[in-house]
Amino acid sequence: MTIKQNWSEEFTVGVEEELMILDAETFEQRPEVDEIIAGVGAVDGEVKQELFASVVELTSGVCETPAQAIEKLRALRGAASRAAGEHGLVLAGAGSHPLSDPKTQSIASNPRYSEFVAYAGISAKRQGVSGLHVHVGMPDADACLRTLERVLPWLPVVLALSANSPYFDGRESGMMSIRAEILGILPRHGAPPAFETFADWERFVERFVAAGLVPGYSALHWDIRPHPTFGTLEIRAADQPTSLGHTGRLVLLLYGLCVWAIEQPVLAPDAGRRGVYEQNRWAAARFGPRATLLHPERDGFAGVPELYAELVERIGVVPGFDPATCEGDRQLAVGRAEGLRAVCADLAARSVP
Amino acid sequence: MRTETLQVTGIRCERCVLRLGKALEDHDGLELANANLMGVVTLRYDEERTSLQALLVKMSNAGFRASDPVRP
Repeated sequence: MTIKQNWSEEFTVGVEEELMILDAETFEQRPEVDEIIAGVGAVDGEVKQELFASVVELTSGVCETPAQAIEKLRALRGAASRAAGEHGLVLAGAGSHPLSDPKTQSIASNPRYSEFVAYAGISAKRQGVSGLHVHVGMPDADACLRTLERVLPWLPVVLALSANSPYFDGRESGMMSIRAEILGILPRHGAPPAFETFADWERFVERFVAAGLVPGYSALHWDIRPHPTFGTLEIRAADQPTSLGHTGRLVLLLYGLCVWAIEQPVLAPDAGRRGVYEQNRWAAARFGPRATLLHPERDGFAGVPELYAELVERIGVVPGFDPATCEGDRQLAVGRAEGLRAVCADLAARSVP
Repeated sequence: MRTETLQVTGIRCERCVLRLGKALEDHDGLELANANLMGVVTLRYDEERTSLQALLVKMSNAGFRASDPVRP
């Protein structure tokens, strides 16, 4: 098996958002992704199905800069919201739906999703969670793996700052990002194995494909992974933001992290690095911006705002970023004061750009 | 005095950031230029002595093309 590779010298960027489709009055999820896709018509970018029929995916396509990707998503969110409105629906961005039981949600009408659910069973049916996926163009396979290893230790900081899924199945989950935990019940989740060479990565993928476990590498649900067909490093660590402004801030942060990381020396092998990552990923999911994390690169530990400040020293200031809070904080404040339906209403109102 | 935050193409490393700074150095009316690895450039300038267009041309001549404004 030969995996197609389309690396390029440009730091292109592509962004994928997953928005929930809700009834405009009850705010329950509605499985009407096909109606929205049909209603949107021709757009710059793509409007697609996701695993559940009550979620729509918006993709920016290949962009020259993060700001260009955000402007495309602004138009896509607008077009999809108008199409939703035609059917008495609204769209809402968040890492999870506050009210619904994902097990009762319909699966989208694509055989590849049905096949996955048949294999993964309850672990697939519980995936009522949405994430922000960011692709950054890489010059070659080795640079992609080298950048992956440098970026990975910082992803718990990104997860903490993006945390936006405090509710699951109608209750406070006790986690700021229950999405990160729910992803953990999927096969092939979390940090990827530490591959020394791209050939090792290819052999790994070939073995899984030959065994019939996956149709291709896109079924490896890691937090970060090479995407050689797109020629990108794909980062999948963040919860789906509600406001497009927060999507923009997270995309800038991840883009800057990649531009910084690609210039850094190769990281020496370290048996403990993945263990530190797992601890930090859990702490970020549990506490969001209030997490204390083991330092990603040296001994000691630090709070999320401190680690964010270290990133700013390396990559620059992300306009408008407040590292002391996350969108999940607002969900909890609204939910405790006014109830979960009010949270859904607030999510829907803030998701329209 | 006017401040604009925009995004440019062409920044790939710290050296590119320095090169962009060099391209705008001594531009009459430019009070501050700040670029970073994300390709975000903040410009503060005196509208009576220069214009955004003049600054964009100077950056473009150095290989940095403006993309879209960055909205906080």
